[in-house]
Amino acid sequence: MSPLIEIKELSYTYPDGNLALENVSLDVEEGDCVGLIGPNGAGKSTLLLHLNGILPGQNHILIDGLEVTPDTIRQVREKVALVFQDPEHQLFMPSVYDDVAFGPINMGWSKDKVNWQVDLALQEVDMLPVKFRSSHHLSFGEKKRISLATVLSMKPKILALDEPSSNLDPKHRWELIDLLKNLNITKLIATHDLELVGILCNKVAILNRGRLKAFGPAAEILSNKDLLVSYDLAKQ
Amino acid sequence: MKHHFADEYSQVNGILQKIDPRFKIIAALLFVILVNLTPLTKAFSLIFYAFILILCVLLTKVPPGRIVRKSLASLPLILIFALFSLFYHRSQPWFSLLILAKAYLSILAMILLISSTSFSYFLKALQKLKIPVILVMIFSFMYRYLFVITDELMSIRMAKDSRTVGGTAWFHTKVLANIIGVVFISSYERSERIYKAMLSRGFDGTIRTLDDFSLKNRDYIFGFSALSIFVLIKILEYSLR
Repeated sequence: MSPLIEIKELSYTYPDGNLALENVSLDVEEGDCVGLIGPNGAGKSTLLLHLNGILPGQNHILIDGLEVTPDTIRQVREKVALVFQDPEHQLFMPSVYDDVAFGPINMGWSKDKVNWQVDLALQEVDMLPVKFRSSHHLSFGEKKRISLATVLSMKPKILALDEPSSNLDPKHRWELIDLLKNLNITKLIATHDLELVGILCNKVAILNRGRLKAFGPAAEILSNKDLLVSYDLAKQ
Repeated sequence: MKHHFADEYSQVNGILQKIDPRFKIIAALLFVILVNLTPLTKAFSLIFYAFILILCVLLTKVPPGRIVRKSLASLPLILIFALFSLFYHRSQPWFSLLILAKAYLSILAMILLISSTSFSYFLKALQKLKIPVILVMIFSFMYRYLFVITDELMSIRMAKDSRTVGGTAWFHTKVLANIIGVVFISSYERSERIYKAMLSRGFDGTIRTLDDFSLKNRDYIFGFSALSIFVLIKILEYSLR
């Protein structure tokens, strides 16, 4: 069986000349939860942005057997859901409902289907009571949950999360971890939160200066202290 | 940080809050047009319009003090117009006072409309009333990020104040200019990230919305009542000479 995500020798250079990714190859199977770890500027977020074609990379990425090209972008964006680090970027519509419905409406779904999926997604993140409120009235933890609902409503096959636990207080962080744990979906999580990776992920990839340095079972990589220390992910 | 949102009374259980926003927008616009088209020689009808506003305030349950406080922000602009009109109506200076009253009533009507209507419904209603979608989206983003940018500005100002003691007015002006520059650049970068978030959820340049307004009997009653009152005032205006 072919992997759900197949990245082959992906390289990307930002317009300012910064080489963000260099020959990254990675396969993710259906049901996997992969933790992308690495120091700041390692290329974790850049890699996530390639998964649904926001950034065009050299060489190819296959999502569920579909190559990411301008022609397939619509199908790819239905399959891969991206949750950005700052919920203020994810929640740009005037109300929670509008934000959660934004993706399904763009998919061209019927009104009934959109409303059904919005309710379902908000129920999944336990935020249905705030459906008609404005996002800027919510707390940071609530905004993070709604951010997740904005992509769950699109029924994606892959969830790509950029720093999901950043800036959350311990209570909201644990709530988010529990929430993600119960989501039966393939996940890629770019984070510095190694505890979260240990709880949620079965595989871990270490990125450093745009290169994939290690990829394997989470237990194996997270217990290899020398490896973590060599990439500044743990203290000697 | 704590903000007073424009639509803070939209969730209050008032009668006007339940009216379809399209009817409210049309009624408010009609009100503003009629108030401003009132001949200066028929100033008494402005009293009727003021009574309509008082009735609407009661029906929306928005505290009158809040509306007046919000209206104060527009007073300097209205006063400037009224002062200019003094030169035009030099023989009858009280006309300027009437112009001031007309402008102030219009402002109060708009504040009442915005305070009692959820902003997202207000925007949807504008779209249904055939206001260009791109303009509605600009309003939407402006309202969504106005508070975010204000927060950012306040945080930077606090960081600046925590490292500043004394200093000349010129120094503070220069620092303020830098702060505005920083906020401008970060807003520009923020817009890039928001656009990426939109793209990732299937946005392809076409703005799509759901049609989820349905008219009820109370909307027709409101529309009919508003129209009748306006016609009645106009009839009174022309019959009382």
